[in-house]
Amino acid sequence: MHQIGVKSLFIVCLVIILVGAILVLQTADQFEKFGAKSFVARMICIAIIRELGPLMTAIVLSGRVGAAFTAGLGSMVINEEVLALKTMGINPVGYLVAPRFIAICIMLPCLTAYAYLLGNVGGYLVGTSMYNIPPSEYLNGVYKSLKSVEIIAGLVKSMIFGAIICMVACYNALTVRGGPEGVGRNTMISVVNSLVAIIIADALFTAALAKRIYGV
Amino acid sequence: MAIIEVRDVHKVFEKDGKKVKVLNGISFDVERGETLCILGGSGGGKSTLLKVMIGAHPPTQGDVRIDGESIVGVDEKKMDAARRKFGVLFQSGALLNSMTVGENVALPIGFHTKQAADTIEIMVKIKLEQVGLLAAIDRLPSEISGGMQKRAGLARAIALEPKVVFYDEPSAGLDPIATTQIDELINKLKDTMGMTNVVVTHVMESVQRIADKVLMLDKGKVILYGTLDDLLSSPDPKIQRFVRGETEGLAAEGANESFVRDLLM
Repeated sequence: MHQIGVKSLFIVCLVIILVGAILVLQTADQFEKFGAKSFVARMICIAIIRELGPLMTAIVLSGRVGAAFTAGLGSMVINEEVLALKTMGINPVGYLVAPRFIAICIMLPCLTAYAYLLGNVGGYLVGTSMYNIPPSEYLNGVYKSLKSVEIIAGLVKSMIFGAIICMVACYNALTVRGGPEGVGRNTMISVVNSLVAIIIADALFTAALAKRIYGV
Repeated sequence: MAIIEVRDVHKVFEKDGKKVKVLNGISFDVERGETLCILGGSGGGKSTLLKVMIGAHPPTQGDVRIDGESIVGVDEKKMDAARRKFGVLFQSGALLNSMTVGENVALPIGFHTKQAADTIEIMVKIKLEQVGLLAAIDRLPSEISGGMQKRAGLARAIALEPKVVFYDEPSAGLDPIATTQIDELINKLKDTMGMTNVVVTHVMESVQRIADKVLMLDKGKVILYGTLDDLLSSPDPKIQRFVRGETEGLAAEGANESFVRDLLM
Protein backbone atom coordinates (compact mmCIF):
# COMPACT_ATOMS: atom_id res chain seq x y z
CA MET A 1 0.00 0.00 0.00
CA HIS A 2 2.90 2.30 0.80
CA GLN A 3 4.49 1.56 -2.58
CA ILE A 4 1.23 2.00 -4.49
CA GLY A 5 -0.35 4.84 -2.55
CA VAL A 6 2.18 7.03 -0.78
CA LYS A 7 4.91 6.72 -3.38
CA SER A 8 2.47 7.54 -6.21
CA LEU A 9 0.91 10.48 -4.45
CA PHE A 10 3.31 13.15 -5.67
CA ILE A 11 3.13 12.20 -9.35
CA VAL A 12 -0.67 11.84 -9.25
CA CYS A 13 -1.00 15.25 -7.56
CA LEU A 14 1.35 16.90 -10.03
CA VAL A 15 -0.43 15.43 -13.06
CA ILE A 16 -3.93 16.25 -11.90
CA ILE A 17 -3.07 19.83 -10.83
CA LEU A 18 -1.68 20.42 -14.29
CA VAL A 19 -4.70 18.79 -15.93
CA GLY A 20 -7.02 21.10 -13.98
CA ALA A 21 -4.90 24.09 -14.94
CA ILE A 22 -4.73 23.09 -18.63
CA LEU A 23 -8.51 22.60 -18.75
CA VAL A 24 -9.04 26.16 -17.58
CA LEU A 25 -6.43 27.50 -19.99
CA GLN A 26 -8.09 25.70 -22.91
CA THR A 27 -11.69 26.53 -22.10
CA ALA A 28 -11.89 29.81 -20.17
CA ASP A 29 -11.48 31.95 -23.33
CA GLN A 30 -14.35 30.15 -25.03
CA PHE A 31 -16.62 30.53 -22.01
CA GLU A 32 -15.67 34.22 -21.82
CA LYS A 33 -16.78 34.79 -25.45
CA PHE A 34 -20.26 33.60 -24.50
CA GLY A 35 -20.24 35.55 -21.27
CA ALA A 36 -20.26 32.37 -19.26
CA LYS A 37 -16.93 32.60 -17.45
CA SER A 38 -18.64 31.79 -14.18
CA PHE A 39 -19.39 28.31 -15.53
CA VAL A 40 -15.70 27.46 -15.89
CA ALA A 41 -15.50 26.20 -12.30
CA ARG A 42 -18.54 23.97 -12.78
CA MET A 43 -17.22 22.52 -16.00
CA ILE A 44 -13.79 21.78 -14.51
CA CYS A 45 -15.29 20.24 -11.38
CA ILE A 46 -17.68 18.02 -13.34
CA ALA A 47 -14.90 16.91 -15.68
CA ILE A 48 -12.54 16.10 -12.80
CA ILE A 49 -15.12 14.27 -10.69
CA ARG A 50 -16.84 12.34 -13.44
CA GLU A 51 -13.95 11.51 -15.69
CA LEU A 52 -10.49 12.98 -15.38
CA GLY A 53 -9.86 12.29 -11.68
CA PRO A 54 -10.38 8.52 -11.86
CA LEU A 55 -9.01 8.21 -15.40
CA MET A 56 -5.79 10.21 -15.01
CA THR A 57 -5.04 8.53 -11.67
CA ALA A 58 -5.54 5.11 -13.27
CA ILE A 59 -3.34 6.06 -16.24
CA VAL A 60 -0.53 7.21 -13.94
CA LEU A 61 -0.81 4.03 -11.86
CA SER A 62 -0.93 1.74 -14.87
CA GLY A 63 2.42 3.17 -15.92
CA ARG A 64 3.98 3.36 -12.49
CA VAL A 65 2.47 0.49 -10.53
CA GLY A 66 1.24 -1.84 -13.30
CA ALA A 67 4.68 -1.81 -14.91
CA ALA A 68 6.31 -2.44 -11.52
CA PHE A 69 3.97 -5.39 -10.90
CA THR A 70 4.81 -6.97 -14.24
CA ALA A 71 8.55 -6.34 -14.00
CA GLY A 72 8.77 -7.47 -10.37
CA LEU A 73 6.67 -10.61 -10.67
CA GLY A 74 8.08 -11.36 -14.13
CA SER A 75 11.60 -11.30 -12.67
CA MET A 76 10.42 -13.68 -9.97
CA VAL A 77 9.12 -16.01 -12.70
CA ILE A 78 12.41 -16.09 -14.61
CA ASN A 79 14.40 -16.47 -11.37
CA GLU A 80 12.27 -19.54 -10.58
CA GLU A 81 10.97 -17.92 -7.39
CA VAL A 82 7.37 -18.48 -8.51
CA LEU A 83 8.15 -22.11 -9.35
CA ALA A 84 9.79 -22.43 -5.93
CA LEU A 85 6.57 -21.21 -4.31
CA LYS A 86 4.57 -23.75 -6.32
CA THR A 87 6.85 -26.59 -5.27
CA MET A 88 6.44 -25.49 -1.65
CA GLY A 89 2.68 -25.90 -2.16
CA ILE A 90 2.10 -22.14 -1.98
CA ASN A 91 -0.30 -20.78 -4.58
CA PRO A 92 1.52 -17.87 -6.26
CA VAL A 93 -1.75 -16.17 -7.15
CA GLY A 94 -2.89 -16.16 -3.54
CA TYR A 95 0.53 -15.29 -2.17
CA LEU A 96 1.77 -12.74 -4.70
CA VAL A 97 -1.23 -11.44 -6.65
CA ALA A 98 -3.96 -11.18 -3.99
CA PRO A 99 -2.11 -8.69 -1.72
CA ARG A 100 -1.34 -6.51 -4.74
CA PHE A 101 -4.97 -6.71 -5.89
CA ILE A 102 -6.30 -5.66 -2.50
CA ALA A 103 -3.71 -2.89 -2.14
CA ILE A 104 -4.38 -1.28 -5.51
CA CYS A 105 -8.18 -1.58 -5.16
CA ILE A 106 -7.93 0.32 -1.87
CA MET A 107 -5.26 2.83 -2.84
CA LEU A 108 -6.52 3.86 -6.27
CA PRO A 109 -9.79 5.33 -4.89
CA CYS A 110 -7.74 7.07 -2.16
CA LEU A 111 -5.48 8.64 -4.78
CA THR A 112 -8.55 9.53 -6.83
CA ALA A 113 -9.93 11.43 -3.84
CA TYR A 114 -6.72 13.47 -3.80
CA ALA A 115 -7.11 13.95 -7.55
CA TYR A 116 -10.63 15.35 -7.04
CA LEU A 117 -9.26 17.95 -4.68
CA LEU A 118 -6.07 18.86 -6.52
CA GLY A 119 -7.61 18.91 -10.00
CA ASN A 120 -9.95 21.59 -8.75
CA VAL A 121 -7.08 23.37 -7.02
CA GLY A 122 -5.23 23.52 -10.35
CA GLY A 123 -8.29 24.98 -12.04
CA TYR A 124 -8.86 27.41 -9.19
CA LEU A 125 -5.29 28.75 -9.30
CA VAL A 126 -5.38 29.43 -13.04
CA GLY A 127 -8.99 30.60 -13.11
CA THR A 128 -8.57 33.14 -10.31
CA SER A 129 -5.10 34.37 -11.20
CA MET A 130 -5.17 34.46 -15.02
CA TYR A 131 -8.84 34.92 -15.85
CA ASN A 132 -9.84 37.08 -12.88
CA ILE A 133 -12.66 34.84 -11.77
CA PRO A 134 -13.48 35.91 -8.21
CA PRO A 135 -12.40 33.19 -5.74
CA SER A 136 -15.80 33.09 -4.06
CA GLU A 137 -17.50 32.67 -7.44
CA TYR A 138 -15.13 29.88 -8.40
CA LEU A 139 -15.59 28.04 -5.10
CA ASN A 140 -19.36 28.51 -5.31
CA GLY A 141 -19.30 26.98 -8.79
CA VAL A 142 -17.36 24.00 -7.50
CA TYR A 143 -19.71 23.60 -4.54
CA LYS A 144 -22.80 23.65 -6.76
CA SER A 145 -21.30 20.98 -9.04
CA LEU A 146 -20.43 18.49 -6.32
CA LYS A 147 -22.86 15.59 -6.10
CA SER A 148 -22.20 12.75 -3.70
CA VAL A 149 -23.49 10.13 -6.13
CA GLU A 150 -21.01 11.29 -8.77
CA ILE A 151 -18.14 11.30 -6.29
CA ILE A 152 -18.99 7.76 -5.21
CA ALA A 153 -19.40 6.61 -8.82
CA GLY A 154 -15.94 7.98 -9.62
CA LEU A 155 -14.41 6.18 -6.65
CA VAL A 156 -16.11 2.91 -7.60
CA LYS A 157 -14.90 3.40 -11.15
CA SER A 158 -11.34 3.90 -9.92
CA MET A 159 -11.60 0.69 -7.90
CA ILE A 160 -12.57 -1.13 -11.11
CA PHE A 161 -9.60 0.47 -12.86
CA GLY A 162 -7.35 -0.75 -10.05
CA ALA A 163 -8.63 -4.29 -10.47
CA ILE A 164 -8.00 -4.08 -14.22
CA ILE A 165 -4.44 -2.76 -13.77
CA CYS A 166 -3.61 -5.53 -11.30
CA MET A 167 -5.14 -8.35 -13.35
CA VAL A 168 -3.52 -7.28 -16.61
CA ALA A 169 -0.12 -6.68 -14.97
CA CYS A 170 -0.06 -9.90 -12.99
CA TYR A 171 -1.30 -11.99 -15.93
CA ASN A 172 1.50 -10.61 -18.09
CA ALA A 173 4.00 -11.23 -15.29
CA LEU A 174 3.03 -14.83 -14.64
CA THR A 175 3.09 -15.68 -18.35
CA VAL A 176 6.59 -14.29 -18.98
CA ARG A 177 8.69 -16.43 -21.33
CA GLY A 178 12.18 -15.91 -22.68
CA GLY A 179 14.24 -14.52 -19.80
CA PRO A 180 14.90 -10.83 -19.08
CA GLU A 181 13.98 -9.87 -22.64
CA GLY A 182 10.56 -11.43 -22.06
CA VAL A 183 10.12 -9.40 -18.87
CA GLY A 184 10.74 -6.17 -20.80
CA ARG A 185 8.38 -7.22 -23.58
CA ASN A 186 5.59 -8.23 -21.20
CA THR A 187 5.99 -5.03 -19.17
CA MET A 188 5.40 -2.98 -22.29
CA ILE A 189 2.43 -5.17 -23.28
CA SER A 190 1.05 -4.90 -19.76
CA VAL A 191 1.07 -1.08 -19.75
CA VAL A 192 -0.46 -0.81 -23.22
CA ASN A 193 -3.12 -3.45 -22.53
CA SER A 194 -4.10 -1.99 -19.19
CA LEU A 195 -4.46 1.50 -20.73
CA VAL A 196 -6.70 0.14 -23.47
CA ALA A 197 -8.68 -1.95 -20.99
CA ILE A 198 -9.15 1.05 -18.68
CA ILE A 199 -10.49 3.21 -21.50
CA ILE A 200 -12.84 0.45 -22.66
CA ALA A 201 -14.06 -0.14 -19.10
CA ASP A 202 -14.55 3.61 -18.66
CA ALA A 203 -16.61 3.82 -21.85
CA LEU A 204 -18.76 0.86 -20.82
CA PHE A 205 -19.22 2.19 -17.28
CA THR A 206 -20.22 5.61 -18.54
CA ALA A 207 -22.53 4.24 -21.24
CA ALA A 208 -24.24 1.89 -18.81
CA LEU A 209 -24.66 4.31 -15.93
CA ALA A 210 -24.69 7.78 -17.53
CA LYS A 211 -28.42 8.22 -17.36
CA ARG A 212 -28.82 6.77 -13.90
CA ILE A 213 -25.95 8.63 -12.24
CA TYR A 214 -25.26 11.72 -14.30
CA GLY A 215 -28.78 12.21 -15.63
CA VAL A 216 -27.68 12.67 -19.24
CA MET B 1 9.75 -50.24 -3.03
CA ALA B 2 11.58 -47.41 -4.82
CA ILE B 3 10.75 -43.95 -3.49
CA ILE B 4 10.69 -42.48 -7.02
CA GLU B 5 9.37 -44.42 -10.00
CA VAL B 6 9.57 -42.87 -13.45
CA ARG B 7 7.81 -44.88 -16.13
CA ASP B 8 7.97 -44.32 -19.89
CA VAL B 9 7.99 -40.54 -19.62
CA HIS B 10 7.71 -38.56 -22.85
CA LYS B 11 7.67 -34.78 -23.10
CA VAL B 12 6.93 -32.87 -26.26
CA PHE B 13 7.03 -29.08 -26.42
CA GLU B 14 5.18 -27.18 -29.10
CA LYS B 15 5.82 -23.59 -30.12
CA ASP B 16 4.70 -21.83 -33.28
CA GLY B 17 3.50 -25.15 -34.68
CA LYS B 18 6.93 -26.74 -34.22
CA LYS B 19 7.13 -29.86 -32.06
CA VAL B 20 10.26 -30.85 -30.19
CA LYS B 21 10.50 -34.15 -28.35
CA VAL B 22 12.63 -33.42 -25.30
CA LEU B 23 12.09 -36.65 -23.34
CA ASN B 24 11.62 -39.93 -25.10
CA GLY B 25 10.52 -42.94 -23.04
CA ILE B 26 12.44 -42.32 -19.81
CA SER B 27 12.11 -45.04 -17.14
CA PHE B 28 14.07 -45.55 -13.92
CA ASP B 29 13.74 -45.95 -10.15
CA VAL B 30 15.39 -44.14 -7.28
CA GLU B 31 15.79 -46.17 -4.08
CA ARG B 32 15.34 -44.68 -0.62
CA GLY B 33 18.39 -42.97 0.82
CA GLU B 34 20.45 -43.01 -2.35
CA THR B 35 21.80 -40.16 -4.45
CA LEU B 36 21.02 -40.28 -8.15
CA CYS B 37 22.89 -37.94 -10.47
CA ILE B 38 21.22 -37.08 -13.76
CA LEU B 39 23.87 -36.20 -16.32
CA GLY B 40 23.98 -35.12 -19.91
CA GLY B 41 25.04 -32.38 -22.27
CA SER B 42 23.15 -29.12 -22.70
CA GLY B 43 19.72 -29.69 -24.24
CA GLY B 44 19.83 -33.36 -23.32
CA GLY B 45 16.61 -33.11 -21.30
CA LYS B 46 18.00 -33.08 -17.72
CA SER B 47 16.21 -29.96 -16.49
CA THR B 48 13.00 -30.93 -18.28
CA LEU B 49 13.10 -34.34 -16.60
CA LEU B 50 13.58 -32.65 -13.23
CA LYS B 51 10.63 -30.33 -13.86
CA VAL B 52 8.48 -33.32 -14.80
CA MET B 53 9.58 -35.12 -11.62
CA ILE B 54 8.61 -32.17 -9.38
CA GLY B 55 5.25 -31.74 -11.13
CA ALA B 56 6.11 -28.37 -12.70
CA HIS B 57 5.48 -29.74 -16.19
CA PRO B 58 3.12 -32.64 -16.84
CA PRO B 59 4.60 -35.34 -19.07
CA THR B 60 3.03 -35.79 -22.49
CA GLN B 61 2.93 -39.50 -21.72
CA GLY B 62 4.04 -41.72 -18.85
CA ASP B 63 3.89 -41.66 -15.06
CA VAL B 64 5.95 -40.38 -12.13
CA ARG B 65 5.36 -41.77 -8.64
CA ILE B 66 6.83 -40.37 -5.47
CA ASP B 67 6.59 -42.60 -2.41
CA GLY B 68 3.99 -44.71 -4.21
CA GLU B 69 1.71 -41.81 -5.19
CA SER B 70 1.40 -40.67 -8.79
CA ILE B 71 1.89 -36.95 -9.40
CA VAL B 72 0.62 -37.05 -12.99
CA GLY B 73 -2.92 -35.88 -13.71
CA VAL B 74 -3.81 -35.48 -10.03
CA ASP B 75 -5.79 -32.61 -8.52
CA GLU B 76 -4.11 -29.77 -6.62
CA LYS B 77 -4.95 -31.31 -3.22
CA LYS B 78 -3.11 -34.54 -4.05
CA MET B 79 -0.30 -32.61 -5.67
CA ASP B 80 0.10 -30.51 -2.51
CA ALA B 81 0.29 -33.70 -0.45
CA ALA B 82 2.96 -35.02 -2.83
CA ARG B 83 4.88 -31.74 -2.60
CA ARG B 84 5.24 -32.19 1.15
CA LYS B 85 7.35 -35.26 0.38
CA PHE B 86 10.01 -33.42 -1.58
CA GLY B 87 12.01 -30.23 -1.55
CA VAL B 88 13.72 -28.53 -4.48
CA LEU B 89 16.94 -26.57 -4.67
CA PHE B 90 16.77 -24.48 -7.83
CA GLN B 91 19.72 -23.46 -9.95
CA SER B 92 19.60 -19.85 -8.76
CA GLY B 93 18.60 -20.70 -5.21
CA ALA B 94 15.25 -19.03 -6.00
CA LEU B 95 15.10 -17.21 -2.67
CA LEU B 96 12.46 -14.49 -2.41
CA ASN B 97 14.54 -11.33 -2.60
CA SER B 98 12.23 -9.22 -0.47
CA MET B 99 12.67 -11.56 2.51
CA THR B 100 15.64 -12.28 4.75
CA VAL B 101 17.30 -15.69 4.65
CA GLY B 102 15.51 -16.64 7.87
CA GLU B 103 12.12 -15.55 6.52
CA ASN B 104 12.72 -17.56 3.36
CA VAL B 105 13.37 -20.71 5.37
CA ALA B 106 10.40 -19.98 7.65
CA LEU B 107 8.04 -19.57 4.68
CA PRO B 108 7.17 -23.25 4.04
CA ILE B 109 7.14 -24.02 7.78
CA GLY B 110 4.73 -21.21 8.53
CA PHE B 111 2.56 -22.07 5.56
CA HIS B 112 2.25 -25.80 6.17
CA THR B 113 2.44 -26.20 9.93
CA LYS B 114 0.55 -24.60 12.78
CA GLN B 115 3.65 -24.00 14.87
CA ALA B 116 3.98 -20.94 17.08
CA ALA B 117 6.29 -18.19 15.88
CA ASP B 118 9.01 -19.00 18.42
CA THR B 119 8.92 -22.69 17.45
CA ILE B 120 9.28 -21.73 13.80
CA GLU B 121 12.23 -19.53 14.70
CA ILE B 122 13.95 -22.46 16.43
CA MET B 123 13.23 -24.74 13.44
CA VAL B 124 14.67 -22.13 11.08
CA LYS B 125 17.82 -21.82 13.19
CA ILE B 126 18.25 -25.61 13.21
CA LYS B 127 17.93 -25.78 9.41
CA LEU B 128 20.33 -22.89 8.88
CA GLU B 129 22.78 -24.47 11.33
CA GLN B 130 22.62 -27.69 9.30
CA VAL B 131 23.77 -25.83 6.20
CA GLY B 132 26.26 -23.65 8.13
CA LEU B 133 24.42 -20.41 7.51
CA LEU B 134 23.06 -19.39 10.89
CA ALA B 135 25.08 -16.16 10.87
CA ALA B 136 23.22 -15.00 7.75
CA ILE B 137 19.72 -15.44 9.21
CA ASP B 138 18.89 -11.72 9.09
CA ARG B 139 20.56 -10.93 5.79
CA LEU B 140 18.81 -10.41 2.48
CA PRO B 141 19.60 -12.78 -0.42
CA SER B 142 21.22 -9.89 -2.29
CA GLU B 143 23.68 -9.43 0.59
CA ILE B 144 25.12 -12.96 0.49
CA SER B 145 27.25 -14.86 -2.03
CA GLY B 146 25.94 -17.27 -4.66
CA GLY B 147 27.17 -20.27 -2.66
CA MET B 148 25.44 -18.98 0.47
CA GLN B 149 22.24 -18.42 -1.53
CA LYS B 150 22.37 -22.06 -2.63
CA ARG B 151 22.84 -23.20 0.95
CA ALA B 152 19.96 -20.98 2.09
CA GLY B 153 17.85 -22.47 -0.72
CA LEU B 154 18.81 -25.92 0.53
CA ALA B 155 17.83 -25.00 4.10
CA ARG B 156 14.43 -23.94 2.74
CA ALA B 157 14.14 -27.13 0.67
CA ILE B 158 14.68 -29.30 3.77
CA ALA B 159 12.63 -27.09 6.09
CA LEU B 160 9.75 -29.56 6.22
CA GLU B 161 12.10 -32.57 6.36
CA PRO B 162 11.05 -34.05 3.02
CA LYS B 163 11.91 -37.58 1.99
CA VAL B 164 13.44 -36.49 -1.30
CA VAL B 165 15.44 -33.41 -2.31
CA PHE B 166 15.80 -32.47 -5.97
CA TYR B 167 18.76 -30.31 -7.00
CA ASP B 168 18.89 -28.44 -10.29
CA GLU B 169 22.54 -27.81 -11.19
CA PRO B 170 23.54 -27.08 -7.57
CA SER B 171 27.10 -26.16 -8.54
CA ALA B 172 26.16 -23.82 -11.41
CA GLY B 173 27.99 -20.50 -11.06
CA LEU B 174 29.94 -21.58 -7.99
CA ASP B 175 33.68 -21.73 -7.43
CA PRO B 176 35.26 -25.14 -6.65
CA ILE B 177 35.25 -24.53 -2.88
CA ALA B 178 31.56 -23.61 -2.79
CA THR B 179 30.81 -26.58 -5.07
CA THR B 180 32.59 -28.91 -2.66
CA GLN B 181 30.64 -27.43 0.27
CA ILE B 182 27.33 -28.10 -1.50
CA ASP B 183 28.43 -31.65 -2.35
CA GLU B 184 29.39 -32.25 1.28
CA LEU B 185 25.97 -30.99 2.37
CA ILE B 186 24.24 -33.36 -0.05
CA ASN B 187 26.20 -36.28 1.42
CA LYS B 188 25.53 -35.07 4.97
CA LEU B 189 21.76 -34.96 4.36
CA LYS B 190 21.85 -38.48 3.00
CA ASP B 191 24.00 -39.84 5.84
CA THR B 192 22.41 -38.07 8.79
CA MET B 193 18.78 -37.72 7.72
CA GLY B 194 18.46 -40.57 5.25
CA MET B 195 17.25 -38.22 2.53
CA THR B 196 17.04 -39.35 -1.06
CA ASN B 197 18.79 -36.94 -3.42
CA VAL B 198 18.22 -36.45 -7.13
CA VAL B 199 20.86 -34.15 -8.55
CA VAL B 200 20.88 -32.72 -12.07
CA THR B 201 24.45 -31.80 -12.88
CA HIS B 202 27.13 -31.89 -15.51
CA VAL B 203 30.09 -31.48 -13.18
CA MET B 204 31.97 -34.79 -13.09
CA GLU B 205 33.88 -33.92 -9.90
CA SER B 206 30.56 -33.51 -8.09
CA VAL B 207 29.24 -36.76 -9.55
CA GLN B 208 32.27 -38.62 -8.26
CA ARG B 209 31.80 -37.15 -4.79
CA ILE B 210 28.07 -37.72 -4.32
CA ALA B 211 26.61 -40.27 -6.75
CA ASP B 212 25.37 -43.71 -5.75
CA LYS B 213 23.73 -44.11 -9.14
CA VAL B 214 23.93 -42.16 -12.36
CA LEU B 215 21.44 -41.66 -15.16
CA MET B 216 22.82 -40.23 -18.38
CA LEU B 217 20.57 -38.61 -20.95
CA ASP B 218 21.31 -37.92 -24.55
CA LYS B 219 18.76 -36.29 -26.83
CA GLY B 220 15.98 -37.16 -24.39
CA LYS B 221 16.88 -40.84 -24.05
CA VAL B 222 18.58 -42.76 -21.28
CA ILE B 223 21.95 -43.96 -22.53
CA LEU B 224 23.22 -45.16 -19.16
CA TYR B 225 21.59 -46.01 -15.86
CA GLY B 226 23.85 -47.63 -13.30
CA THR B 227 26.55 -47.05 -10.75
CA LEU B 228 29.43 -44.60 -10.89
CA ASP B 229 31.70 -47.49 -11.90
CA ASP B 230 29.35 -48.30 -14.79
CA LEU B 231 29.71 -44.69 -15.93
CA LEU B 232 33.46 -44.56 -15.64
CA SER B 233 33.99 -47.91 -17.36
CA SER B 234 31.41 -47.46 -20.10
CA PRO B 235 32.78 -48.16 -23.58
CA ASP B 236 30.26 -45.74 -25.16
CA PRO B 237 32.36 -42.98 -26.80
CA LYS B 238 29.71 -40.31 -25.99
CA ILE B 239 29.84 -41.21 -22.31
CA GLN B 240 33.62 -41.33 -22.33
CA ARG B 241 33.78 -37.89 -23.94
CA PHE B 242 31.46 -36.54 -21.24
CA VAL B 243 33.47 -38.16 -18.45
CA ARG B 244 36.70 -36.72 -19.83
CA GLY B 245 35.05 -33.31 -20.24
CA GLU B 246 35.58 -33.13 -23.99
CA THR B 247 33.23 -30.81 -25.85
CA GLU B 248 33.50 -32.45 -29.26
CA GLY B 249 30.07 -33.51 -30.50
CA LEU B 250 28.23 -31.88 -27.61
CA ALA B 251 27.41 -28.60 -29.38
CA ALA B 252 24.94 -30.22 -31.73
CA GLU B 253 23.20 -31.82 -28.76
CA GLY B 254 22.44 -28.37 -27.42
CA ALA B 255 20.48 -27.40 -30.53
CA ASN B 256 17.14 -27.53 -28.71
CA GLU B 257 18.39 -25.86 -25.57
CA SER B 258 17.31 -22.29 -26.25
CA PHE B 259 13.99 -23.46 -27.66
CA VAL B 260 13.20 -25.45 -24.51
CA ARG B 261 14.57 -22.77 -22.19
CA ASP B 262 12.22 -20.29 -23.82
CA LEU B 263 9.31 -22.59 -23.11
CA LEU B 264 10.35 -23.43 -19.58
CA MET B 265 11.22 -19.92 -18.37
